Amino acid sequence: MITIKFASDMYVYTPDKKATIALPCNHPRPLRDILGEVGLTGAEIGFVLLNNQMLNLLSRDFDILIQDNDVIELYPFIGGG
Amino acid sequence: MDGFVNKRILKVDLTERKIVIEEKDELFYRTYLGGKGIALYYLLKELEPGIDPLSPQNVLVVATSVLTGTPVGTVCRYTVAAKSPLTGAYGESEAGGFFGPEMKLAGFDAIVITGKSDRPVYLAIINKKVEIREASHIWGKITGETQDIIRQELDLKNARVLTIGPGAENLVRYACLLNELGHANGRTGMGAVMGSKNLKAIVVKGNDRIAFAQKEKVQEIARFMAAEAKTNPLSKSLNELGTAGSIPGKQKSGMLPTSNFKEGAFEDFEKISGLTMMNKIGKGNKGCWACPIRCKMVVEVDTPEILVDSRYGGPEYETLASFGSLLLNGDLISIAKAHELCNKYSLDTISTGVTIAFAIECYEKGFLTSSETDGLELKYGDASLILKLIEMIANRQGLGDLLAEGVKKVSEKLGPETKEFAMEVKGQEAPMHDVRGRVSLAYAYAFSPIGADHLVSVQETLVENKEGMPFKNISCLGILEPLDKMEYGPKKIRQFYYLMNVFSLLNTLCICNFGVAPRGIMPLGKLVELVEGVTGWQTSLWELLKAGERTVNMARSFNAREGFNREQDNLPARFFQGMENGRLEGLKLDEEKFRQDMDLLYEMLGWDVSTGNPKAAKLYELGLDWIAEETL
Repeated sequence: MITIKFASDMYVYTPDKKATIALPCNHPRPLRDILGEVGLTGAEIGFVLLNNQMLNLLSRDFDILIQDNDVIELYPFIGGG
Repeated sequence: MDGFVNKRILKVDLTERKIVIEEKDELFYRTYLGGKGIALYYLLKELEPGIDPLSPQNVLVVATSVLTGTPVGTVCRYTVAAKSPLTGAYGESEAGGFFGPEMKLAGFDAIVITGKSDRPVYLAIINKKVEIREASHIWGKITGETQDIIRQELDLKNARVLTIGPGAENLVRYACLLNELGHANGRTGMGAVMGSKNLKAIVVKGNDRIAFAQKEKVQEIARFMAAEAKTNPLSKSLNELGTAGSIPGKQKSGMLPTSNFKEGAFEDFEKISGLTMMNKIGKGNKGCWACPIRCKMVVEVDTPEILVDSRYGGPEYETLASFGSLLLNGDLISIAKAHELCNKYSLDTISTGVTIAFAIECYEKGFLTSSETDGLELKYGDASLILKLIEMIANRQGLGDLLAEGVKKVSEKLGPETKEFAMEVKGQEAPMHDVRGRVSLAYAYAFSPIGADHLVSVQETLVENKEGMPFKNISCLGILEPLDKMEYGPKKIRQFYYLMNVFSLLNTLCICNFGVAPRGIMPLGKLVELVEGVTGWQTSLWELLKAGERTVNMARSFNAREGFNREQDNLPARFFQGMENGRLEGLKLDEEKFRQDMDLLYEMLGWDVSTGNPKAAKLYELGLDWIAEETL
């Protein structure tokens, strides 16, 4: 299984305002695809932790392959206001 | 009114009790737009350099913009500006709420206040009629009572009241002003300036209407904002937790100011998160004039031990951190109470929290002793101490009298060794954003004319996701590559410079950061359309950004007259030392690269690198001949 944690107010992007969603993982696939499966495009995300490591979203990390048992944490934008 | 502005500026001399109405033409409004543009125009024209900020000679300006009162979400703010008693430099603070639009509908685009009344008064502006009224009976009262009494005696339930509380009356140097009890012009001590003039409040009520050049265009943009607010990633979640939703992200990225900025992570962060707050003590949310986002969270506590009145709103991110992680305080209820007390007494929550943190560290290190603290033991994580100190500061009692002076002056009194951990720039206490994880923020804190300020330009964390909405929103400026938050050098300075002009434009037009790109939902192209729709001008992003740059130069020129130069564009020593915990443990700013980048910034701005102040040619380029000629 892949676990996706919607931190803080990111729960607004889940159907029932759930903080955590688990997805089956039959094969590794890019983060971009995983996000698409839960209805996200990447435009909503401030930063991502993958197994507690911060991803670099400057260019390529939306293509990183997600494996079984990975934990993805999605955080809102920081800054401003 | 005949158009989008009244073309009338109200000038009040409180010493002479003289009221003058100055008429302005369209050229004035197209050049300065509003907010800090109009405020700086009057400060530069009418304030004598070198005056004491708490003397009658200070000039207090309250200004709206050409857009204020437009029924478009987030276009509702106003500026309060004067020479700051906290910094001795240009002072400015913006707020949302309802006061700005109401002031404009009451008949004036700005109010310029000089002198000092010989007794407490308040200013009532009701449908163009201006009256200076007695306020001796409300002097000393908290903001809520003040608002109630004024509304009652004017028999105007919906009058908008901009008021100060006892903290500002007692000239706490970081005292603020509030409208609707929960919208604060928080920073740089503008409340103290108002208190020094014996001016308790400004009350406005107006029934006028704004005539837009293209009404349908304005209505179309209003509908766009209302629809986007519900679906756009930049606003959708703000409606849930407001800025309080930032706490977990700050913690996990290692940038949650903790124990007076020694650390970047607080083990009890979940106890003070926005989600915890709304689950435990939340009572819905509020918004500002015409705004569909409604990001202001409201809290209430009603227990035998403690009451927190929901009329004062609720703590936002800055307050949760400044009375929470910064003081190692995981007691959410005490933070809510601290917020309420600050709004009752009119104290800036950021400066209050940072000053208390500084006092605790001074006590820990022996620079303050119990003989100087009225026997109080100053220690982190003591919720009751925080509440007690807020009361003492507001009333200038005992140790509170010293802490009411702000970190810089306290540090100067306690000795040069304390400067090492005095978290201020130009005298203003640092907001709740650690610059060690974001280089642009380091430039912002150092460069800002008002002292440490996180809203000078973009924070890289907002625009480093290439797929994110904020980054996509700035491509029209020619910023086409996201930059790493720890990158120094020319590309970063260019990004900072371009976005500084955007942020300055938003404050000049009195627009909330949550309204317009990069952090807000309205693209910059649509902002141009809005200005055209409201004013009828054939304008462009180029012209508007030049207006933003103009006010950057005006603020710097004000400071130059007061003797400021690049030497004050500095940072607390702590930011050049490693963080002590969290994801960024050990990370510090590179001092040499930081200083090289500041050189480049002045050069890119067309300023004198040796002084860090505008050159005459730049002032001429921006149409500020009158400032250039005074400088030459």
